Amino acid sequence: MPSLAAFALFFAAPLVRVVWLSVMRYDTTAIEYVGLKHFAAMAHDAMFWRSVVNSLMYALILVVFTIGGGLTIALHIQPMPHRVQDTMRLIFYLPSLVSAIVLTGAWKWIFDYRHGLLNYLLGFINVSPVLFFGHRLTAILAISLIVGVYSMGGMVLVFSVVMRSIPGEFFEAARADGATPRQIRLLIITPMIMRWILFYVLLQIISAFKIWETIWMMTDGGPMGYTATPLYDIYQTGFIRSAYGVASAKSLVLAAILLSIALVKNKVEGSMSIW
Amino acid sequence: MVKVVIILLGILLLFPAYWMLNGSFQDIREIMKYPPRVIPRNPTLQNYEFLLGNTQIVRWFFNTVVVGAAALGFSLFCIATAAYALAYFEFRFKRLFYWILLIPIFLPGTVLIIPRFVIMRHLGMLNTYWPLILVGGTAPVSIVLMMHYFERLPRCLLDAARMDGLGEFSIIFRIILPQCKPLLGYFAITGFMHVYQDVLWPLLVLADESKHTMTLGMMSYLNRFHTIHGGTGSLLIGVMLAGGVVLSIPLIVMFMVFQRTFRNQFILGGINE
Repeated sequence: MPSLAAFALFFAAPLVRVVWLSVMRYDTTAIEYVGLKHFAAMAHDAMFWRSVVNSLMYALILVVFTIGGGLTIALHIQPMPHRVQDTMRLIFYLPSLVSAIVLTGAWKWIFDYRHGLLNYLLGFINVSPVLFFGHRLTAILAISLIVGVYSMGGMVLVFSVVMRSIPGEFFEAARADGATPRQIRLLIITPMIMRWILFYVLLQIISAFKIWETIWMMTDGGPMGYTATPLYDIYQTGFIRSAYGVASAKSLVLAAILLSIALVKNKVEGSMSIW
Repeated sequence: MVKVVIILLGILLLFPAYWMLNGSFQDIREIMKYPPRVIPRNPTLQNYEFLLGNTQIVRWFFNTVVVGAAALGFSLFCIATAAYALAYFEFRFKRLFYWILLIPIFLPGTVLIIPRFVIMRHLGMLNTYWPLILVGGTAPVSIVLMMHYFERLPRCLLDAARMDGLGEFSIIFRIILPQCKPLLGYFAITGFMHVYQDVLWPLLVLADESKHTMTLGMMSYLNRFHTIHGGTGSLLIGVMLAGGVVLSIPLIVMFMVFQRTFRNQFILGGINE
C-alpha cells in the first residue's frame, strides 16, 4: 500500500519529528539535545505571544464580520426564489474564488498612503491621511478586512445551502401560526443550523491563527510584529532565522492552542441540548 | 435597512476585484492620480507587457500545470488505494489508523511544515518538484471521505469483479473509481486549486525562480521588488494588478468548466479546510 508509505512519510513521520525537533537545538551550527529549553524560553518570547494575541483579535473581528455578515446575508436571501438566490450567492462568492493573495495589488493600492482610495474617501469627512500599516489597530483592521472579504462569500454559500435542507413544513407551520419573517429568521432558521454555525466559527478561529499569505504580502508581520500570526512567527523563526528546533516547539504550542479551542467548541456544543 | 447593509456588503466584496481590473489598464501616472480614476481614461496594456517581458510567467504557468497534474495523479492514487484498503479489508490496527486519520481535522497541516521541510532536506528533494507532488499524497480527510463513499457502493460489484479474476488494482481503477466521478471531480478541482494558490510550501522548497509555480513566482517577484525599492511600492502597483488579473483567469475558467461540481463543494469543503 504505497499510500500508507506516503502517509507515514509525510504525515505520521512529521508528527513524530516535530516532537523530536522541539527538544533539540537544530540550526545551521549545531544539532544537540536541549530538553525542554525551547518551551521554557517561549514563556519569554514576546513575539510569539504577541502573535497569539493578534490572532485572537483577528479571530474576533473575522467571526463577527464573516460569520455575522454571511449569516445575515444568507438569512435574507433565503426567502427569495431559488434562481435569484443562486445569482446572489454567485455574486458574493466571486471574491472567494480568486483568493486573497490575487487581490493583494488592489488592496495595496486602496490602502496606499498617498494614492489610495481609502485615504481619499476619508478626506471627505476631514480625516487626515492614515498610514494604515503603520499603526497596530489600523493594520489589524486592514488585514482582517482583506481576509474577511475573501472568506465571507464562502460563509454565505454554506449557510444558504444548509438552510435549504430545512424541511419546508417548518416554514409553513410558522407562517400558519403568524410568525413574522424576522421571527422565522431568528427563532426557526438560526437555532436549526446552530450546529453548522458553531462549526464554522471554530474553523474561522482556527484559520485566524494560520493567516500567512496576506501578511507576507502586505506587512511582513510589522509594525513590530503586531500583525503577525503564530504561523507567520513560526515561518520567521524556522526559515528566516533557521532555528528549526525553536520553530517546532512553537508549532507544538500552536497545535495545543488549536486543540483546546476545538475542545471548548465541543463542550459548548454538548451543553446546548436544543437539538 | 438590512437590505441596504447587504447591498453595501455586496459592493464591498466585489469592489477590490473591480479595482484590480480597473487599475491594471492604467499607466503609472494615472494610478498615481489623485483622486483615483474609476475608469481608465487611456486604457493601456503596458502592465501586462511588463509582466510578459520581465518575468518568467509563461514558464511558471507550465510548471504549475505539470506539477499540478503530477500532484493530482499521485494524490488520487494514494487516496484511492488507502480508502479501498480501509473500506474493504480487515487488518490489525484498522480502528487506530482510522482515528489517526481524523487528527488533522483539528490539527492543521501547517503545524507540520517544519518537520516536513527537514525531512525533505534529508531526502535531498529541496529545489525539486517532489515535495509539492508527494505531500499531496497525504490527504487524510479526503481518504476518510472516499472511504465512506466506497462503503456505500454495492458490495456485489466487488464480488463480481473478483469472480472474473481481476487483480486488486484493476478493481480499484477499472471498477470502483469510475463509480465515484463526482467525488473525483471535487478532489481534482480542490487539489489543483491548492497547488495553484499555495505559496508558503513552494516558497520554502523551491529556491530557483525558474521552478516556481505561477502564484508563487508572481508574488515573490513583486514582493522582492517591493522590498528593494521600499516605500509604498506604488511604482509596481499596476504590474501587481495586472498580475492579479492574469492569476485569476485560470481560476475563473476552472470555475466555469466545473460549475456543477463547485455547487456541491461546500458540503465537503467545510470539512476540508
